[in-house]
Amino acid sequence: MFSLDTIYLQIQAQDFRDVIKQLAKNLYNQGYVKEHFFPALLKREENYPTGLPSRPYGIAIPHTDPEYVITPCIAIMQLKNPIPFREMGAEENWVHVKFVFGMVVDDGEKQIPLLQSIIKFISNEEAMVQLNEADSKIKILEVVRKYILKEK
Amino acid sequence: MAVRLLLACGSGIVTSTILEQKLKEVAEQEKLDITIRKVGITALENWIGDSDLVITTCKYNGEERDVKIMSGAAVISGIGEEKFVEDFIQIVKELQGNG
Repeated sequence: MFSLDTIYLQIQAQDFRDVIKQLAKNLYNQGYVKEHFFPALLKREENYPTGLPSRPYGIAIPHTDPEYVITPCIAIMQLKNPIPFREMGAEENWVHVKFVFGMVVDDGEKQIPLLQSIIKFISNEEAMVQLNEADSKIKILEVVRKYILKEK
Repeated sequence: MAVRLLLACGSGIVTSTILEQKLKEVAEQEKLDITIRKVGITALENWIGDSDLVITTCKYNGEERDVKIMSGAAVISGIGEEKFVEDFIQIVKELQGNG
């Protein structure tokens, strides 16, 4: 589910809509998602935001309906500067997001263990510090493997 | 009678699945009798009448109902999760007591 070609470094964006747009565009160009993934993903983020107030920085986990997915993957986008996303379940709050986990999943049941370990990872402050210090795609993948895939 | 939970998130896939696993764990530990249905938020209206407790990870903007509605966002972010679990156990026990 994780691979070097869906890790995007030092992304510069205007706002959360721009982040979603860049994420969706990359995934579409790489053949992971169908054409209408972008509007669907954006609409979902606007209606049901996914910003999570994790520490020491915020995370967003944008996702949308399985019908737009061709090949499931978890994309990781590192933002050059924190971008405000609305908070999940508390739209009035804004979360300053530094990493975006694009959850391109097509079957929740099958991916339960993975989803759970991602959530655990996000709420692990030490893991988030290490992720932030990773300065290459390979290093990011190493942190992910260490904490999510549990293979060292 | 089992307490009927209705879990809702944007699509009924990602965050409601995480929530479901957590609640199953809690129910087993606390020996709570529950049934779980997961739906996308847009389908919530269709199922709310057959539920005792609704837990969502996004804001529910529908009309007020007799059914108790909780936010389960804490389970996703991990922040305030313990408090959520405490409240959840208490509410389910109350509902069971009334049923």
